[in-house]
Amino acid sequence: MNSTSDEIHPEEPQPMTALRKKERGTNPISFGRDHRDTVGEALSEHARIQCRNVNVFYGNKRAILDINLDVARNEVIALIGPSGCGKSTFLRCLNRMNDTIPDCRVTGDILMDGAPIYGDSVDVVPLRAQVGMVFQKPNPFPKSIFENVAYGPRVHGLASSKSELGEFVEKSLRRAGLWEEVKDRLHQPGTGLSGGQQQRLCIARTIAVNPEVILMDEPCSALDPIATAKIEQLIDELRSDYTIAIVTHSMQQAARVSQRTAYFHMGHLIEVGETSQIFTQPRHQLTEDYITGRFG
Amino acid sequence: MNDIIEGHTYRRYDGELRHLHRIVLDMGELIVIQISDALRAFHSPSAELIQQIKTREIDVDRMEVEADAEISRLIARYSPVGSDLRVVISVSKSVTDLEGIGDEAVRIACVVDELIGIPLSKMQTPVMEEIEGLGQLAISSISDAVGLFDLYDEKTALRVIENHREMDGEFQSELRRLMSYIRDDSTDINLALNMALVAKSLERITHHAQNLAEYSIFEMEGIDLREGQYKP
Repeated sequence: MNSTSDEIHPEEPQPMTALRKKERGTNPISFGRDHRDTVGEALSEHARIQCRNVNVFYGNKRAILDINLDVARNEVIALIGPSGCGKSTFLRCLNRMNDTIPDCRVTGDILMDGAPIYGDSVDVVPLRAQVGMVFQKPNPFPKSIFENVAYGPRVHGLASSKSELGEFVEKSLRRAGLWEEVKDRLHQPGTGLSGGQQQRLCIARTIAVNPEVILMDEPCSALDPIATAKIEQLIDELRSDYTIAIVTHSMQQAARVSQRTAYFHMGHLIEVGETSQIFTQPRHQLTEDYITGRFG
Repeated sequence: MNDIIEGHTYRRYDGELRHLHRIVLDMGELIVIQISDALRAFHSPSAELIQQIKTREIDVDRMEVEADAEISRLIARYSPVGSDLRVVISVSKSVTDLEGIGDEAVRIACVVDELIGIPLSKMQTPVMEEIEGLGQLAISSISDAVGLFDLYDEKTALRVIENHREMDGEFQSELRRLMSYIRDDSTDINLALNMALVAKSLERITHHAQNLAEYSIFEMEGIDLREGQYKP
């Protein structure tokens, strides 16, 4: 075999670019701060929710820009990013909560199990039962624990008798891990529970109307570490039955509870990936800067 | 390497990550002295030098324990992720390897201790020259590998990895030469076995240096180069 001067000699150390190609194909930080196209696998073969070219405008201001993202069945996806990045705005698109904000306009397509959720013919009441939401601050109704949970099934006509309604309430409270703590005081005010219990009551209220997707907007930000751990355990258990999208400012919480993580920055979806990859080897410099506490 | 450490909003975090690198550099500096002294003792046996090596080994062990404590504290306080996590993992593994290199320096010192007073044989001079050659390669590898934690350079890291391949070949050749000496003169078995132990320690040192280079690549590039996966 003839040797040429261009050949790579095995005994000479090769530059890292060669190693990258050999070992993994990409450098963890392959995209600089100016790159704004989404990095990573934003779409899923098992999508329950599909978002395509989603933009949200508050008046003339575009809050989120051309977001393409799937949320898969039985996954927990964490939406992270600095304040004002658009993650909560995006979350609220998924059950049309933005409709309640004056001057807010949503463009693009959002499909739930293949059917569009935006359009004049879509009734938002069943949609919001199908896609339930848990907010940052626990917001139980000023009613009894029982009535907080019973309200949804009653309004949506899910229970045909009082006993069936009771079964709905017990099942939902059990699923939310709250039954044992409140079963002897179901007719006391929900507002009398601790913050963590109130949040689980809100989750029970969401579950009671048989949703398919649960949206959580910083559900633990007002809770102590034990109450937070109980909510995180609950999220883990609920994943077998529901699809969950959670907005959180806690990197550790995102790392603990989610299977996929999406990083937003100034209205752009910067990077999506397996949570383990995002928190060990992010590919976009902005993701790296944010999760390591370098800005935001 | 400081590029990936600096810039946190909470600037104290920069300082604590920098301190982890400082630990590797301090420990590495001591380790290089240990190996250099072990090779000096090998060349010119000295009971005093051997004792100094054994005494300094206590410092090496103490530094490893202190490094582990610093790493535990940093994980508990900052829950590092991304490149910060890679720094912590890299330093944590590096101090273990550096402690292992310290053990090898003491092993060489102990072998030299055994040889003090044994009459010179005809194989001693050529064998010692060969092993001193291996020693220079080991010193060069570990110095370069430790230096990566101060100023990272991928070519240097890859050279350190290649050095171990070279050392592995040299070590096998040395064993064959020692067996040949033994076949020629069986009265030198004790000496030959001790020389094989020294050669083996030097081979282990370059292996640890290779590990350090791989950790530095993992830290800087996020690439996990496990043994055998990198084939140029």
